[in-house]
Amino acid sequence: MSILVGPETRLLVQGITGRQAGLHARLMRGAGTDIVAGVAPGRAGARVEGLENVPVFGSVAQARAATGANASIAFVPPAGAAGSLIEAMEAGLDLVVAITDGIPVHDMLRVRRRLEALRAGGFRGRLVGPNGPGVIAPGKAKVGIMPDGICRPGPVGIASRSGSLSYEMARGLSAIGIGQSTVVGVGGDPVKGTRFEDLLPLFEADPETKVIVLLGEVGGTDEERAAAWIARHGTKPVAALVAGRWAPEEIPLGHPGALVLDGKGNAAEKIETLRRAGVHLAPDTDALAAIVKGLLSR
Amino acid sequence: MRLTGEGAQACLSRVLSRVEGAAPRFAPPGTPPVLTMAVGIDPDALAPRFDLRAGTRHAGAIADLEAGPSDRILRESLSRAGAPPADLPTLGRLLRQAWRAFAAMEALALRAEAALSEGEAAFGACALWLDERALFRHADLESLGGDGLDRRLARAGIDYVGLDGDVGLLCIGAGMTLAMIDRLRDAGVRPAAFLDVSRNPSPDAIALALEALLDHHRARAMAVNVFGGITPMDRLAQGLLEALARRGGARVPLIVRLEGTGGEVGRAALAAAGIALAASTAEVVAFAVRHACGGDA
Repeated sequence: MSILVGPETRLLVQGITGRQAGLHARLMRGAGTDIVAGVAPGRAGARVEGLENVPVFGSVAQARAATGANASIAFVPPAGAAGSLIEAMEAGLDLVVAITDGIPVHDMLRVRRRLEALRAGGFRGRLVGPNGPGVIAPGKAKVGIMPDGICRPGPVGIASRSGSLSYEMARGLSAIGIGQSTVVGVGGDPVKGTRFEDLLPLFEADPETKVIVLLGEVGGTDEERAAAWIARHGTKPVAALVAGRWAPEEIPLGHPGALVLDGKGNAAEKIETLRRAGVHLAPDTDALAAIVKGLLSR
Repeated sequence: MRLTGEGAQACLSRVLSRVEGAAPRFAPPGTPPVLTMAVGIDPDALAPRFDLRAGTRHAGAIADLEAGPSDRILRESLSRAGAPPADLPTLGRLLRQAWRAFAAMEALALRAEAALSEGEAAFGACALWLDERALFRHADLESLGGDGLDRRLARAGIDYVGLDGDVGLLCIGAGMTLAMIDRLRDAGVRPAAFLDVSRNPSPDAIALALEALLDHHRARAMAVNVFGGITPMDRLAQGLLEALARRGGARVPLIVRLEGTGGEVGRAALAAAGIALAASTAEVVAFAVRHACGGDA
């Protein structure tokens, strides 16, 4: 099994007529993903090179009604991204993955508020991202932009705030023969749809996942919230790193993912909180891969 | 973009003149503050919130971005933070102005001292953190940041924070950049800057990044470590080669590790130009250790 994506995923691509969207749609199909539709407002009926059999619709609702799509990936420029994400959530998709980097944070506050209102009304779908690489279940489906060839199927579930570090980690594990059940990039922005704490119960319930890896970083409270969940409910071993141990204080507010208010969110505190919850900490991805190997052989 | 001092007050004036039709009041320098107000984003609720602090007393609440906190919440919070009852209305108006400014300028955070001047609340010293990604909608505020190196890099879409080391580090993605700084510092090497070119790997932006690292920070060696997903690595390699050609080469030891989408084409182009390639992050770290002199481990 895997979490969030799998053989049942029927994907639509928002912004499919863009250059990056077309490229990555072809790569996702190559990774086994069933791409059923594209959406490009005002360009219904357009044809996309290499994806001639994928119908393009003017709206997510139309695409969903015509094709039974249950997931979306949005490659939409930052200024219009919030509207596209809200459109996909309102259409009732199970999964909305936002790749876009550079969405204004106040736009994401509005998306988050809409997500919470929809949830209160019974919406069960998830928004993953923005500013992340998406989700891959190696050998089954990819709803994201991870480079080809770095993942292989296996027992490790990875959740990461950083795209590049998740690639580094997946590749490092694969190189020593350890595969991944699912790799999820939650995204580097401070206001996002899914946090570690939302993924931990899914990895816990997934029989294929034996060890969970969290790749955290300075800023915010995602790691502290994850630690609280693990301390209460966790039964599977968790290994983690927190990037930014040497980050000077001015970095947090200078980098998109970080909001440090009143000294909260520095790496040392996050590391200590995770350690107290029983999480195995490593200083870098190479050391983390070695820890994961040890945990799997126990 | 961070603004303090006169720049922050000018920004507050500009944005409140726009949304309220009048500039806010500022207390004469040296006026003792009654309390400190902050408006920002609650990292747990992922929603906007305000906080008030006076000595050890503290109060705050989450509120809707557009509507702002209710009058009742404002008064209760000010009371809990120790504001004198007679001054609640005027301090409440000031806090509401701070909230409106936060929303109108799409700030990440705003911090301002609140003072009383001739019986009316007024802003004292303030600091603003504007969202770089929203500044395309606020050209009038962006211009307050000046034309320094920080702003030129930010305008090119480069996330940059200057550090004090001697190894130039160029990465893709904030997490990767932070992780590389950790690895270098663990090995006793001090990087010159936090610098992330993921949003704009063009020749112009990379040229600017090299200018920052090699000319401004006078880095003695350059390490490029990138693992791209959405950023095509063949394009990044071309951008790097073009930027290097414009300067007549790096003129310091340079190593590049390039992985990810388009990586094979990118590596071939770099190798053909005679650039040393590393196969892993560990190799990049070893190179930096060999060429750094400011190590403190």
